[in-house]
Amino acid sequence: MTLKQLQISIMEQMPEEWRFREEDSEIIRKHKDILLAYTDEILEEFFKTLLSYPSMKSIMDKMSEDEVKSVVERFRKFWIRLIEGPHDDSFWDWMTYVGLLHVKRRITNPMVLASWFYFRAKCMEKIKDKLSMEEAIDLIKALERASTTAAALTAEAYFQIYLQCVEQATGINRDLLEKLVDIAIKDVEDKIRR
Amino acid sequence: MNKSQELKNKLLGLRQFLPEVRGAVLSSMNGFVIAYEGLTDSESPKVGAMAVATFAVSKRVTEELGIGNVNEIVIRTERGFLLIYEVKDVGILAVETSGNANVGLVNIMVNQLINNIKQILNF
Repeated sequence: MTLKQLQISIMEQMPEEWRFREEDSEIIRKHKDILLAYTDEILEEFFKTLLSYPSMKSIMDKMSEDEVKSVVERFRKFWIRLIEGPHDDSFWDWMTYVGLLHVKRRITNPMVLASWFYFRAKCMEKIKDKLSMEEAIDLIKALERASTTAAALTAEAYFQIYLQCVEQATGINRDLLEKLVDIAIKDVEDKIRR
Repeated sequence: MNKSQELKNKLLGLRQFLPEVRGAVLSSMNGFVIAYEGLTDSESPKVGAMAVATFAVSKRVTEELGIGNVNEIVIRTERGFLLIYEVKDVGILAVETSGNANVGLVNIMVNQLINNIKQILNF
């Protein structure tokens, strides 16, 4: 399965009403100046928190100085793209590709979901006094849809690519893998019930 | 007699001819049990799927080494053997024996059994 096919299949698993829509893109872009004004502050606090947390810091510690610089730069690009758009296929392809990178770097889905919380919370904090209640709610909803869609792509891509690597490394096909999981899940359920 | 019963009888025949054979399970390449004999209802799906997985891993590693197709897998344990064979176009046959089994003889009998299985399933 290619990343493109993976992106499409993940998107299809989310009801259209609950995933990112063109209207959301318009709403976010409409208020981009408010959010982009805080770019340095938001990213600085993000990395400060990230590096103060042992499991996340250990991942960064394994990287060379150049790699760390490149990660910081990628986050800046990501933040700007999230707010400025375009929220087109290439953006969602990128979010899917992040899942692959995370398998390589052992960046887990809880880390990803927690990071998305941070960005959402920061956005809410920065807009609350600058927009009317109605506008703020619309923007929050749009950002929620963007973050949910991106997090779903990254997290599910992580899982699917992980499985694909297991399949490739062991020669065990997906149907057989699912059968083995079906067998194992019974034992796991029994242990949990005990 | 339906095909399922015919297959079960063939597996039973192997056990009757070679008493060292304790059990056998034939599974599809996706790990679904086609027929079994001498194993319990709960053992057969697990052993069957795990045998297919073992075969898949062995095939993968021998491909990597470029040393040809896997004919059979022989696992010798403290108390016996687990022998795993490919039944082309059908699936995987796993045979469990006691430690005093003559593996060469089991191989000969299983190869005949594999031909019988293919005939029953029209391959």
